[in-house]
Amino acid sequence: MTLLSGRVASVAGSGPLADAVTAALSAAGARFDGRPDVAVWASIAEEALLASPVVGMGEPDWVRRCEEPLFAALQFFQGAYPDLKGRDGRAVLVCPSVALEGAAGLVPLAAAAEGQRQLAKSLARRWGRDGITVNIVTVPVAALGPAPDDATRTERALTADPLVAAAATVVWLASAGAAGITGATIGADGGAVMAP
Amino acid sequence: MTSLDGRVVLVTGSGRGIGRGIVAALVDEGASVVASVHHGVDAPSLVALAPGRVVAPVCDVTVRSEVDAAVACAVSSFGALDAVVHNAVSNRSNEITDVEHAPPSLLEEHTSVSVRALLYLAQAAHAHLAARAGAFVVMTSPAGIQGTDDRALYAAVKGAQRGFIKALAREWGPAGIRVNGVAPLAVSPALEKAFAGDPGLEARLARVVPLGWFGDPARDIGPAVAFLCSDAARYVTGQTLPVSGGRFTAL
Repeated sequence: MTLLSGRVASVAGSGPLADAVTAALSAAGARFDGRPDVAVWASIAEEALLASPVVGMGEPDWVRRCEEPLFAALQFFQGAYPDLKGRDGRAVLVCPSVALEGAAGLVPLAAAAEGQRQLAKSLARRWGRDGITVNIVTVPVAALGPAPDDATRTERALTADPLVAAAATVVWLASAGAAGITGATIGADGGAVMAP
Repeated sequence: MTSLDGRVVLVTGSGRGIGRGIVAALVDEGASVVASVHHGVDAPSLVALAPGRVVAPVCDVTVRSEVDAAVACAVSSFGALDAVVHNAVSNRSNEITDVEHAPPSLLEEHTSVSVRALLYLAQAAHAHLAARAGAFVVMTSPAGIQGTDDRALYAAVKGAQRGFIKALAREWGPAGIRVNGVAPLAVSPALEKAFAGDPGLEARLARVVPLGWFGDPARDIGPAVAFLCSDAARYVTGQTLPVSGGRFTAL
């Protein structure tokens, strides 16, 4: 008997973050075939980490980095809703911690991520009546790939691998023990931000 | 001498409600204001707030050339630009949203006014603000802090604005430009209409506000914006100031 046996999960995204989340869900007993009752957004494009100052940025670049991730997250959660509804569904948004603190060079990413986070909170308020929880896990951008200096200056209290910590947090949020938690933001950032 | 004597501020979405209140507060503090409006019919009463110190050009903030023109208008009318206040929102921002089935076009409507316009404004204003150690203020919302169950797309773009504020404050800090937000709770034309349609609504809503009433755009919201535009806030950047009668206390 493992923490997520009987659960079917769906993970959006590719790369090390999505791989870590998928591996942790699998190790906890979740399957990936059939109608999901656990939906995890773990999609952060590596391109989004490249420093891109607002002054001089082209509009197509802005749309791709800032606006498209908002649309994509909306469509992911819209698609997941019929599967999650009435089935003790769990939705988790994994997003970069620049949503909370910002960073020079990452204005479009911070805007996209904080927009996704407020969307997730709104869904948490709305979907409680359907027995669905929606929570947020933040990871430092430095854990996702090469990041601008300003995004790496906040000191961490712990040195644990943030991707492993994020994946473990997703597993816990999908487990029975987290049934009463919704709209929460948990920083899997080794204590860097410690949001008020 | 008042706090914004000689300063020039561009305010978007000035035609009515909170935008108009911001313009009134700014001119009270001595500023000259480019009060951009979506509908020209709103312009004369804005200009009348302080003749000679207010111009009210029509500007659709979703059109880059019109944003560029509004910024240019500050320089041509008053010789400089010290602060930008992005207040305009989509006409559909108060609409109850069935988010599970909302089409991409509705998010596009919100995004174009609330988010892409920030890109246009920031790019058009940067050089002017850098030359004057200026301020950039975004009118966001409590919905962008706490989420909201019936207007999730509005909450998403208001959240995106808060991410923008935090990141741009760090990006522009070295240039001496401050970037902040205000999350107001105030009587808007839409809220007044709702109150008129449901006589008990105002009292029910006021119960969740510790001060027990809703803010007035000119007396309660505008002065907070004027503060963030002024030298009194010269060490404040990257913040969102809730001006909500204590409705939000979790920070």
